[in-house]
Amino acid sequence: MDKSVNKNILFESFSGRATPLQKKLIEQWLLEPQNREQYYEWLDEWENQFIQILPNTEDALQKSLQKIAQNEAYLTPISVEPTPNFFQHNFRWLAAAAVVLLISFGVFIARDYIFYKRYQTAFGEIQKIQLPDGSQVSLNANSALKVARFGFGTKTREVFLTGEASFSVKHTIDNQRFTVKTDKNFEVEVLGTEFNVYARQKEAKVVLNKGKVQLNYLVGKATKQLTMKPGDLVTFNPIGQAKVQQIAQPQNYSAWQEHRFVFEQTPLKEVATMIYENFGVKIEFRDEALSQRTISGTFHAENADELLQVISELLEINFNRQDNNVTFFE
Amino acid sequence: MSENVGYTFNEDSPIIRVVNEHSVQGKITDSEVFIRQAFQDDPKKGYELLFRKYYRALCSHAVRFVYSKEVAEDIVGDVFLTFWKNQGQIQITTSFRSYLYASVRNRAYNYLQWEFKNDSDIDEIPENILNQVLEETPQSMLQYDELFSKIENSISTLPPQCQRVFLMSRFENKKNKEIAEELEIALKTVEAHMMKALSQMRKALDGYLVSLFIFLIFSNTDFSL
Repeated sequence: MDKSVNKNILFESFSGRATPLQKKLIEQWLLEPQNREQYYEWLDEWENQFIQILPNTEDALQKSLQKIAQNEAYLTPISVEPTPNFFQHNFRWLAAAAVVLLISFGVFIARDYIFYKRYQTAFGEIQKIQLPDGSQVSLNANSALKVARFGFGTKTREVFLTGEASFSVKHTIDNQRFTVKTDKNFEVEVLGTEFNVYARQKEAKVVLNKGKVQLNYLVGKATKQLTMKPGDLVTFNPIGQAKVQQIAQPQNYSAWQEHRFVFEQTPLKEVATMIYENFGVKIEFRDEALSQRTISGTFHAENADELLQVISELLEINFNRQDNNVTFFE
Repeated sequence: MSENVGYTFNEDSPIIRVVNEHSVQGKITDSEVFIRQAFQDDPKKGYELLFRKYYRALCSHAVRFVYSKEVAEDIVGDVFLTFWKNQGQIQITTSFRSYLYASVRNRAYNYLQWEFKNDSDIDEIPENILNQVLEETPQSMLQYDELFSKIENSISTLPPQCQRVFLMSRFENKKNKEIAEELEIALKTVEAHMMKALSQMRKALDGYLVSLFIFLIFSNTDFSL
């Protein structure tokens, strides 16, 4: 375990007396999860040593237990509808929140439609888009791309992506930057190149085929930058940290453009997530062990059914499909 | 196809997002073993032990941010209730202590954002604002430390009379009028002192609130509306 930070340094930091270098040290040290535990342990110790106020714990505990009892009384019998008391109690802010929500929603929608052209793909649909500057975009299923109606290619080249897309960006004479913004904590900035961006709920990643791109991303409140080389795969975890890996075949990550699916020792669980994202088909496993089995190979499939068929034949398992719910079993 | 990055990410249970993704089970310090045991035998008993162990220190921590005893106690009380509602004893993979401190800081921070950015006169705080969860990173942890130091600093540099008025208002729950009578000064003067104190506090917060705001836009905007 990293011993670079001790209790004294941390106490100094809590008291606002740490030097910038000590802060840097602490920041490094905190990257280790056990050290975060240690941090809170010492924070608690510090608070107990330098107590600020003396609340009445017993009173507060009784109040808390009362609230729990009340709450549990509301909840039996279990009902999906919120209790009337909830609405009565919160009516004012609910109303206010509704109004605020409505207005901001309206403004947001209007702004969106006035200033942006949007492309949206359904489950199972792949769309090829040619942007005004000549750049090409393949938009994968269940994804959306927003492009400014005015000024694209003259002032800025900015697009907004949710979901997954592959870009082939045209280099302009005046070296104008092309930026892909996402609703995750990062954006991709390029001159002219080929790359794949994946920004879905579960995680986010960028794969570079050719050229050079720069990633701007946010960790906490700090903006960081990272330059990618061809063959780089950058993955962002939910707390926004980036991980860079070199991969042998970056083009596998944009195989979906030709309706190809490339798996390499991929657990079925991940395949299920992918199918859900691309085709809207929800997959369950009757047996947890099944979801851990892996699959390898390249498959061509135009829709979820074809893919499900291949998987079941390959692994010699069965599946049941009811609308958009599929269950795999042995 | 995708890399297997070891974390769980569940939109429906915010409690999982508060704690850090990396499980440190097995590393949990001995001091909580009893509490965990108690939760297993009888959740209410476990809750009481947890509450008694951390309530006071957590309030002390929260008050450094919000500078009001009442608000600090509310925040800590709510964090415990959320813990109960979400069955924290089952869900949390870090120590309870880490979870509680991280939640209190997060909530105190959201409260400040609400207090200083909201011009409307709604007197109840929308629950959804308080529940917004920021991801915890080493940077954010240090920024919280910096933030409360800055607030403490801004209050301690107030002129003595101004500081006195401010603390009477925030810690003794006195109305401006009562303070004016007690200190034998004009109501207008009390109001001016309060304004000054609050604007000083806001100044200390400024950079942080702006960055929080940007973060929320980042994480909440849904382009596929």
